[in-house]
Amino acid sequence: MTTVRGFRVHRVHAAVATLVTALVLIILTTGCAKERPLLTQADLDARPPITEMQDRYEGMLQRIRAAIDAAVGPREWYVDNKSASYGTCGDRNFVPNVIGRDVTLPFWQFDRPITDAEWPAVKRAVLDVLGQYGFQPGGMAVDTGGDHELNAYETGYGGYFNIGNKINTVMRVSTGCHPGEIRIYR
Amino acid sequence: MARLADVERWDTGQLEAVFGRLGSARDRLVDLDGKLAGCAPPEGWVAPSAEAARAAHGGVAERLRRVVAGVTACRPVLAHTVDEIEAVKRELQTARTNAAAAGFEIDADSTISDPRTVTLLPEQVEQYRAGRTQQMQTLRTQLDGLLARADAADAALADILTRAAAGQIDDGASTNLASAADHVLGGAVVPDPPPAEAGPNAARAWWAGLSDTQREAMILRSPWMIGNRDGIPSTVRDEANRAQLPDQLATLDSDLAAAKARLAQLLAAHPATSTEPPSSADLAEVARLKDRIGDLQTRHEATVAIQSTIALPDRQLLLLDVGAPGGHAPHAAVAVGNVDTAKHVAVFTPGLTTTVAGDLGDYTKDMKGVRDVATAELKKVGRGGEEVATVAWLGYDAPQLDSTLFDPDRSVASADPAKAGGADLARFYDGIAASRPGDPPHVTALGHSYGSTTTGYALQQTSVPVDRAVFFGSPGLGTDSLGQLHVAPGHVEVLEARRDVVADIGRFGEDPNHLPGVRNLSSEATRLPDGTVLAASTGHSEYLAPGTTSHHNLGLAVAGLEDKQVVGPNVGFGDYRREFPGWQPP
Repeated sequence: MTTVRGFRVHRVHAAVATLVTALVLIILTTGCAKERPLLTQADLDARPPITEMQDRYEGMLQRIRAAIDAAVGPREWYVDNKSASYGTCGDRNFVPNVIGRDVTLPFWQFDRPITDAEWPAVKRAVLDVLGQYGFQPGGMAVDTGGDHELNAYETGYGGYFNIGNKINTVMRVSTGCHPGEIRIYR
Repeated sequence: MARLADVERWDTGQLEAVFGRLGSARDRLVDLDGKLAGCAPPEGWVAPSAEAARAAHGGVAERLRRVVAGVTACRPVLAHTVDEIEAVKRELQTARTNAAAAGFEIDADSTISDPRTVTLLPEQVEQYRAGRTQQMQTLRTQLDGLLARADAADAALADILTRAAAGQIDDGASTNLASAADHVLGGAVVPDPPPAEAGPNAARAWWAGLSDTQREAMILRSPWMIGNRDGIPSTVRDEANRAQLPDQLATLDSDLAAAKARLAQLLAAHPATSTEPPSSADLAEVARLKDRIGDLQTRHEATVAIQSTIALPDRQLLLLDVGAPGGHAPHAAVAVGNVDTAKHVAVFTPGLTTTVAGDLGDYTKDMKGVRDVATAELKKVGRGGEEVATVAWLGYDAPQLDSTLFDPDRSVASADPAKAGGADLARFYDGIAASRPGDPPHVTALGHSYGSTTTGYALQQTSVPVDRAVFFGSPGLGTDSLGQLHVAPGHVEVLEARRDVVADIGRFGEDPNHLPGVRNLSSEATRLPDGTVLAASTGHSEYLAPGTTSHHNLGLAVAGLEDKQVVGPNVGFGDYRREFPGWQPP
């Protein structure tokens, strides 16, 4: 009988200890989360279709290529369609299981770096075009010893842009979440 | 005979794509069996038009059976052709390398020439010529043999495609579409797979020992036996798991409908106006049915989430186990990219409150983002040919904020869920290595929050070390010694964001960023002396936000570009408070 009671007491203590520790972990894990209303399927459906955004950002990348060429001389740009990637829309700004798509367009690149001397002009040219598409610089920025990195965000729909170089120069853009069927790059 | 240059240009990737599309087409066709039977003219219909309708229906059914038989017959030949051409191309490359080393040249038509000039004594000339002639003949025989193999593979494929297109593949007088497919594979007797305990290497050896027809039969007849088997190639697992989804969804639909109908029947028998109280047996059944309906709905939602997530290009479904009512939570693992061919493979394990229904899409999208970074960074350093695949592994019962919170065995405060999940995750890592003998990828284990603890336990159990591990927001690795983790030395990395207190509590072992030998990566916002501006991820849940230092570091880890990573001390208030007298981990 004593053993049984002791066992029960032990189990109760274990459960209480578990509960207290769990509560601490939960508060630590979730307590710092920012409170903001989640977007709904209706919010997403009100956005432009994904293919419209793909067209729009293909045009933007074309203008950025032209702007860089104009700023520092023509580059031998080429595109890699296999680098395109596709996602569903659960980016935690939405209620669960909304139906939408996010596309990272095929990366554009040229096989040489941007020099430290060229980078300020490239950066200005890129930001000028990005600004016309609602992008603002943010995130990491690198400008040192032949290594450059620029990130920019489009706040309306969560678009994201990155350009950087080491031996080669690569740029990419993601659309953020939009409704409709994607156009696949082959 | 095919020209050497042509064979070297043959793109087996295109054939593999056709192989996959034919498999999907066959599965869709076989799924039409029910509809085909359902639209047959009714038995009691007697009229001249009824005979015409039966004849038309029979004609359509016959044509469909021939198509199914044809598609089914083509796939093993396609698979064999891909394997054969790949082997021929590899051996041609070796022959070319050896020939070049010996001073011979081979042109596009496989003509061999000997441009080498040597200075010899007169008495050496004959012997030298004879030796060179012998070498050229050996090379000629080798090249002719390889080109003949390529021709034979090409001819076999052309033959089966021609016969299938003409409807000449015998369906064995089958009566439905499934049996038409089965007839074509009828001769395939498949040895049983080894037991799961035998491990991924045994599964790989078993699969490697099957003929193409046996493999096809296995995928068609028993996809559930191979879809989740670690050690089997990822493309096969993906195909086997996809093939099961429609049936699983249909079963869940049917079970849900039956449970709801029974519940409605019980409730109707006891309307609110009734003066007679329901029996205790009825009350118990109502309670059981409500639980069952909730459980089935959870599994249904998980299945729909899986379907939605894998509907995009470049996805592989590597784990499908939505479970059964009363059993474990639904499990799934989805890869972005091809794990069979990627040079770099990452496996990400998430933590507290993760569910397949609620999070698979989110985490797969996060893995797409990490893959984008890794791919872009490889291109920047001139290694754009190296493919990357990233896997969201939701293969364990992650702790939840529900009644299990009070269960010492399942609570977030307990290490037990991490230990149990760690065993399965270890097999998954080992399975990647086993499925690619001779061509091991660079594997990175990524673990967040409680998922990092699961990852820590997994890495203590793997048979094959992974190349790198990154723990972020980690409450502990289940060990205080990096020596316990089967990770390449010096490649255990930790990210700890500002105000992420979870990463400091050390609930499941010492705070990881204090472990001797760990490499601390930055997730800070600061301006470094060289002008680099770092962007913070703050708190427990922003490590995977694009453009942040932590995201950048994770992508570089996956690509194996550690020289480009930004390191940092990872020391904040949470670390300083450890110095307080009497401090103990929770």
